[in-house]
Amino acid sequence: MPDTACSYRLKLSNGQGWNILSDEHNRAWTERFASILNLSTVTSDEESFMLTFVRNQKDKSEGSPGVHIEVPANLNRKASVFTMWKSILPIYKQAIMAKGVPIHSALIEHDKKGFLLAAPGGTGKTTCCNRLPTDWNAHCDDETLLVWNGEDNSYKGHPFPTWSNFYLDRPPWDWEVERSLQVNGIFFLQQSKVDSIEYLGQGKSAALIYQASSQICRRIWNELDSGQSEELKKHLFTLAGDVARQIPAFILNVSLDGMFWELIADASASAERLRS
Amino acid sequence: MNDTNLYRTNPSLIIRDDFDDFAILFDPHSGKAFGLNPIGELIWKSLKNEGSIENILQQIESDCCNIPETAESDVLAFIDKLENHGLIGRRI
Repeated sequence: MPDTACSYRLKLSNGQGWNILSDEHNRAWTERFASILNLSTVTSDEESFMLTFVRNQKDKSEGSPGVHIEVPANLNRKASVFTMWKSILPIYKQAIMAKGVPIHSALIEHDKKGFLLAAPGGTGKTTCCNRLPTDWNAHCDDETLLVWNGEDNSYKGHPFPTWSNFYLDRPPWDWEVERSLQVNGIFFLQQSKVDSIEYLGQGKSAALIYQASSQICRRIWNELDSGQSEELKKHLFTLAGDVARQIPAFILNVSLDGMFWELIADASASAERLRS
Repeated sequence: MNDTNLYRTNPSLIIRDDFDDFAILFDPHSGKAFGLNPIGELIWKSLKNEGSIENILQQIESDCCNIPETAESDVLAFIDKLENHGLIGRRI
């Protein structure tokens, strides 16, 4: 049975809400999960999806709604982080159904505008985040969930944790998962000796957005049969194309000592001028 | 001359042609995306409609200008590339 005293809510800017619950065995574990995501103990009567952590799938109550994630007793640290990382996937799946796209990227902010720095691991997302000047903020350095908001026809980015930090004993960030920022540009990072930037056409951008998303979503489709997996990939490619048509994208060649953020600000301002 | 009726487009592929640079052909099996310029897109769509090489060349002549003398061999080379990437197959 869910422990109603241990209930957290995650609300995304597209209106999707999650109630995150625990059975009586997993209270401490769920509190830790919620603290990493900066969730508060809010109960809500609003219609929400349910995510419940149970000790054993057999323990879930008959007809109990929503997703149940099994958290076995005495998990070691790595297994515990792996289970938390996996617990995010149902949230991503529902967002994808509502035109959202999880992207392997950092989410940074300047002048209340959000920008994604997308790249495979080891390219320099974290280094770029750490090098930003004080009037810029980095909200996450690895995973951003882009959600589509039909009311104002915009994409907003939510920062999600860098789970590998917990494996590698790196200091955790303050990931405020419920916080969102309108995304005004996507920048695909490439290491370089000299900083430079180039505008990407929408087709090329769509292909790169799909690639950056598949680096996260392969965790989802690895658990599906081949038919379901292909359907999800097709859907994701279509969504990547929609994002590419709406958000300007660039290749950002980044050196170790240049001021790449100035290129981002300039490119974003130019793209805005072109639109207006 | 090769007969394109020998070829069949891979039915699981999807094409998206509403971008400002390329049309993109997406293979959900491999997850690979291929950019097609307008001529590549014309050839792909023609193959999908079971058009022959003659049909494709006629369409290029009617839609384009400054057509190179190598057009036919360029089209055949492109079709070879599509086949090598598994985007089309030969009818058996």
